[in-house]
Amino acid sequence: MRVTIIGTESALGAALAAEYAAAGHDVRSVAWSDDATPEAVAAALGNVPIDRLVFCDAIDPPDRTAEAVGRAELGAALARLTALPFRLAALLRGQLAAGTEPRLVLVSRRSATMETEDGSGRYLERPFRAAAHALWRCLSVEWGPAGIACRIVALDDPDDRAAVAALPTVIEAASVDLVDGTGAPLGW
Amino acid sequence: MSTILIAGASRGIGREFVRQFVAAGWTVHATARDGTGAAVLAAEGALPHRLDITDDASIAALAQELAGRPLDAVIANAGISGDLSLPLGAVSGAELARVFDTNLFGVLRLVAALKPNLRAGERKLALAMSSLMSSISSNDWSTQYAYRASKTALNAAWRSLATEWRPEGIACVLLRPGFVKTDMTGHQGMEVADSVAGMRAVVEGLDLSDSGRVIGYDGLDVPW
Ligand SMILES: NC(=O)c1ccc[n+]([C@@H]2O[C@H](COP(=O)([O-])OP(=O)(O)OC[C@H]3O[C@@H](n4cnc5c(N)ncnc54)[C@H](OP(=O)(O)O)[C@@H]3O)[C@@H](O)[C@H]2O)c1
Repeated sequence: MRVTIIGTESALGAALAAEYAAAGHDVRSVAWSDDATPEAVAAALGNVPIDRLVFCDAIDPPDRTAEAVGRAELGAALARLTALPFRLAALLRGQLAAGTEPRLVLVSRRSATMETEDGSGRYLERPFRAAAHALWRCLSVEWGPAGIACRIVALDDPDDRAAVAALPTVIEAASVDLVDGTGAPLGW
Repeated sequence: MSTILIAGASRGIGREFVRQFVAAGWTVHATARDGTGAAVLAAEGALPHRLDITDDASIAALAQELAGRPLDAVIANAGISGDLSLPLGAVSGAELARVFDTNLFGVLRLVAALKPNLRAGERKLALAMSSLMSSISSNDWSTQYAYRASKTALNAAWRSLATEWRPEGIACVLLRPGFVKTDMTGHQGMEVADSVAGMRAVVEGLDLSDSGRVIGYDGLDVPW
């Protein structure tokens, strides 16, 4: 398969790229840097078909109290965790549509789902991953009928090596929009 | 007598909240962005203040004006829809940033700045406006990308806030107005008076056990 991994500056992304490469897939890796833009990255990837487009990161921002969290750091978290994957996915629609049984995958965190309330202090992560989930649902509604499967895999721990090794299998098997690291369906 | 601050009250749902809380005998502080809006609020019987929720200095100035006044409830009502005409591929990072700046960052920073007032109040209600659009499980027609994402993010932030402030007795609850006739909807939907009457009944009944919920004008929880 032609696999593109976004976010290989993170240990998670690099490990996932290595898993796909070891299995013999054709892997392209994009390490995200702060001065990159979705438009520039999309242009650099070129107009070639993508079978699996996977967004990864290992972002683990500091906790904040509600009084201490600042507008600029909220904006930066929005740009990295929400706007980047959504915008880049939108820009690569044509390449995905040209792929074979294409899958668009966001590797997220279970802590961003709503059912667990205890997320105190996680203002720089949780709202923006949750927002990305909302936008992935929009992508799924619009692109699913066109044959692009849009999936979110919400990990408990991005440093869990076994979970990362299982990711390619979970990504192939996921039949609903949101699954956990074992492939079991999750609530939003 | 109970005291409330309604932020973003010049028009629509916020202005109707002012009317109904004044009629119910509450002391109502309310904000508008400009002098015309402030005059409207004074005419409705509220104590008017100026606030642009995207401006931290404006939030700080409001907190200064209200320093030492206990508030039973704050409703951070200000919100924008963003440009709803944009198709999925045209929603830029700047558009997301603009909508989030009001609907999440401003709302969170306002309520946090007024925490001392809420702690001093009796009811201790930190309220803001969610929407059915925040519900991912209900979304089977897409559209309204930046708005949806901002309201889902608000839900997530309020879940975290609920945990953080529970030990201090502050209930953090989001309200869903329904689909309501205001400028935001091009004046389609239900009457604003009915939506606000429903939400006011919800607010009257709230306590700490409701913290972390998103509750509709109809009393029903919004599914995640
Ligand atoms: N109408 C609905 O069907 C519906 C449904 C679900 C949720 N909601 C939510 O309910 C809330 C009120 O909506 P609405 O329908 O009443 O909208 P609206 O008629 O457009 O009124 C929006 C209010 O927010 C204020 N506002 C906007 N940006 C602001 C800023 N930067 N600083 C301070 N105030 C600001 C506006 O003040 P200006 O006059 O100065 O612009 C106005 O008073 C919003 O949070 C909205 O998302 C509405």
